[in-house]
Amino acid sequence: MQRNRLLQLGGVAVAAVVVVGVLIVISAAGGDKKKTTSGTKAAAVSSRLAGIPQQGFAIGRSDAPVTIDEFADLQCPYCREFAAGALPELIAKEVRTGTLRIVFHPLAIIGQDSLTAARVAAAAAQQNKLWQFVEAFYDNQQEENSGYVTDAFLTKIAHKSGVDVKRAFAARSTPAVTGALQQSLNAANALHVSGTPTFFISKKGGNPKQLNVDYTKAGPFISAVQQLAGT
Amino acid sequence: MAVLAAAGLGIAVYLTVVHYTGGNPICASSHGCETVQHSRYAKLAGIPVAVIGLAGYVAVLSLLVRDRPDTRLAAAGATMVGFGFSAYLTYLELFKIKAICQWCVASAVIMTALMGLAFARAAHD
Repeated sequence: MQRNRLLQLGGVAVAAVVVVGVLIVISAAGGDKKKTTSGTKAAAVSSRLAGIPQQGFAIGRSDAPVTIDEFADLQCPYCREFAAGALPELIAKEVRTGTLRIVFHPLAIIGQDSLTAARVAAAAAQQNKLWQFVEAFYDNQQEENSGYVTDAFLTKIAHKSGVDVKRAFAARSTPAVTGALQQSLNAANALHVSGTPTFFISKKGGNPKQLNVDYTKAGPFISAVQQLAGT
Repeated sequence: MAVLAAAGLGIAVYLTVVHYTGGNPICASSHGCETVQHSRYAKLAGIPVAVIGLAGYVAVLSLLVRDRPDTRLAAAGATMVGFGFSAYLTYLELFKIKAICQWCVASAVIMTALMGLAFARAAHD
């Protein structure tokens, strides 16, 4: 091989390294950008949920004619999009008025941080504060599986959501919590849930039907609820 | 080489189609590809990585069509960029997203082979 050609190839290689470097910088910047916009809206959340009955994993009146089952992983950014984009209006228009009850089924499909979070969420459900906890968690969500769900992090979330931290931490490894998470998983398996968020809608006493709508907007959920409730 | 590049192109087309027709993005456990394709690294400056791969394979194929010393050199450079970027994406899958998409890995393997062949060819001139 000519020396000249070798030099050319070397030049090409250097150029390629530079191009790849630029691509990586752009990618890393994009990856970080979506990180938490950690503005806590604790006050807004508490007023949004104030006065609405919560029982365990459910929010809304127990005699509501329509139920939506939500399967979610607290680490999942798409579940957060639902909570931020669709949930507030859905709660204001359908849950608060007594038409809809929403049941949260925590799943731990992304990783260890999901399970750590789900355990404390189930403990918050025992205190009927699950929905405040979930909203506060999403508001502070960070990069998946980065190990961010520490006790300090969970304490912060619990404080913001009015959950009794001591009680929650004491409860998180109990059979009651483990059993509740297992029930969620069983329900997910029975309904062939393959990812989060996944939604099912049902009329009181009826069979759940999967709701495949744009979960970032309240509108599609509201129409589905009204259609089923006949309102 | 053309066969390899065509195979890579096929994979990129498939992943691009999946990216745009996958419906609502979800976080999935069982399907590594869904997790990877819906991760925050699936787009680069708003462009799906699958589309970038598509463009890359088209570029390599078009360089293979005209077999001249300069296109051989360019093919070596293009496949090296493809290899470097694939290596970075595989790193993301392994250590950041912690999910493996077999199609992406197949593409990375093809790109690696293409780079080896392209370099050998260009060095022969």
